[in-house]
Amino acid sequence: MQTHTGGRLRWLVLGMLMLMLTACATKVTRVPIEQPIDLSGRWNDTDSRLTAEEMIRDALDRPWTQRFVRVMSREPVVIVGTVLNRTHEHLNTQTFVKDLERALVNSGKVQFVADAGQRQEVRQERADQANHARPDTVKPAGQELGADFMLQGSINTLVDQLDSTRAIFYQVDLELIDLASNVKVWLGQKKIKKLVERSKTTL
Amino acid sequence: MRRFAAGWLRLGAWVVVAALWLLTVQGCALPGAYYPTLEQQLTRHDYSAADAIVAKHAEEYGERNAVLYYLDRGLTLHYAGRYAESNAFLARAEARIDVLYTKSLTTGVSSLFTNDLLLPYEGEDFEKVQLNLIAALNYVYLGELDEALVEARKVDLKLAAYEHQYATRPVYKEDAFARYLSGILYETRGELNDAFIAYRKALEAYDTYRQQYGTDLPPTLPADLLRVTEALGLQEEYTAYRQRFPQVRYDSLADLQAKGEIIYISYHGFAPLKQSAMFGLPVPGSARRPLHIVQLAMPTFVPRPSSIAYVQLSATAASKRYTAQTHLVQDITAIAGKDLEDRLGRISAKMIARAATKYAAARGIEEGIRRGTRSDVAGALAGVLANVAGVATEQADTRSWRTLPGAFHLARLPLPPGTYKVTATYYATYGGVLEERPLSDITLTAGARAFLSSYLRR
Repeated sequence: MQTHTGGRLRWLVLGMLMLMLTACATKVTRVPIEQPIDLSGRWNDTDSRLTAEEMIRDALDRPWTQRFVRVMSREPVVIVGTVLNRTHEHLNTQTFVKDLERALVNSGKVQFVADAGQRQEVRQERADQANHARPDTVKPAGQELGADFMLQGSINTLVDQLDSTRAIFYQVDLELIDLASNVKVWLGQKKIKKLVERSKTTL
Repeated sequence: MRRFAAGWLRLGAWVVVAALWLLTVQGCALPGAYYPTLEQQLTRHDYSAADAIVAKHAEEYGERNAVLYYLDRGLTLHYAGRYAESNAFLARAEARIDVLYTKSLTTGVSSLFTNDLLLPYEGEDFEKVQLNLIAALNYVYLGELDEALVEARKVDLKLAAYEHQYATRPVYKEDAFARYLSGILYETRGELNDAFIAYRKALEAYDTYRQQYGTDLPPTLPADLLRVTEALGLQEEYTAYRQRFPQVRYDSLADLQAKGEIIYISYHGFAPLKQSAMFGLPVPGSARRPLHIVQLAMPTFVPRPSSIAYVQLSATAASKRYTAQTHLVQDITAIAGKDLEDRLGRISAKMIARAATKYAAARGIEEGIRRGTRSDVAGALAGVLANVAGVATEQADTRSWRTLPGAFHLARLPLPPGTYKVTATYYATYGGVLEERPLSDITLTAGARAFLSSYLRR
């Protein structure tokens, strides 16, 4: 009688073990872009998205575009400069800068020109066209649109840590600087704060 | 009822034996047989071959020593001049070290039955900081100064955590070379305030270094402090440093910005290694108990001193020749030696706990088998087998980041703008010239800083 229950118990344990092992295979789930997933506490796509949304909303709300149109009777032209990384992480500033660029261009209120990195390639292509393309399709040199404003910025962090807990504060600052007069016409800012707690032991 | 209990006890005893056997098989692997070949390649400056050796032995490192694998790969790629690839590995090492902050309790318990090699290697405190130092140098050589400063900030966070963790204990909790390099980078970037703070921390750290490791203050640091405090207008600090270093001559910031400067970092020799020293103590048996051997293994420190005393850097243009001498800024051998010394207390306590656990396990198996089979001989035999397993698995943890150099030297050479041929002449501790090596030609404009490095494993 006792050996019978002993036998059944052993099969139950074995079955549970097998179930646990099969549950360990790799699993991939597609998630919506807006869903925040914070895994390690570092700067991630949610931070970039929040920053971009805040900057876009702020840039389009402020009067600098209307002021420019009133004076110059055309849309302002902006070129993207450097966004300094003054943080303690190697993070990519391009993601939210590109989002901002796209939103501003798509709003129709602002024009962007190629930045220092892109225009090298464009100029090479133009030089090549001068040599090889059909004369009526060659784009003449010296016709680039001069920018009116330059977008610069910086990301800073403040970290407070004790043992296994860390509080990280990010501040993203973007500025639009008038290329003629050096006047800063727009200052966008986004602050993000995170609390990262690590456990000291696990099973 | 008794037969039921006996059945389970027998099963339990065999489970324990099987588990111990599995653990002994796992705990025996020790990476490192390929290090001599690796070091040979490093001595011959064949860095890509050295990297290939590490890559080939990835399996041997295993999951537990993944951090060590990433560190070794990262450093051999750094030596080979493949800085971006090096950073990729160092970043992985850092990510893994972060994960290993959370200690697994079951692995900890298992290591008491076998040895410390079962625990994942997460690097010594100073090795974790050297990781960022090498990464910063990677970014510097790639020309990305801002990213190098990100590494400097990471070092700052790590050292702040050590400062808090170790409070007043005289252990490694400040890295003078990392601070000094951060200062140089901040100054190159034009951030004088941050540069001043980094230089000041470096000065304090070198005071500690002299006591703990016998590393003297590099003579270029007081000049740097005087320069930045004067440029920032910090009158009080400037006077204090002037009083402490009355003889030091320095270029003012304006003068220095009219010149270019070469920062030369020299990597000397090999990092020390650890070896296992073993001894066995017999515990006499009795009529009921067989003889039990308690095996103890401790790591011993094996330095590999370099025969290089200093390097003279010379830059020649047309008929003019400028020279500067390097000074020791980081003695890895001394730091590693003191680190092991500081941890010896904890290591020996663990060793004793391990011996006690293995003894208890052997006795437990003996009892279990004896009750289960109702035979004294079988029990005694099981006890002896368990003892043998315990002795066989006893090994000291001799893992370390061996590809690090034994010491870092630094020289700063301000030069008028122009193009120079640069040579490094290595002088031995016994006085003669070890080697003369031409480095790359450098063109300097006013205010530019060029970072050069070279390695000699002697």
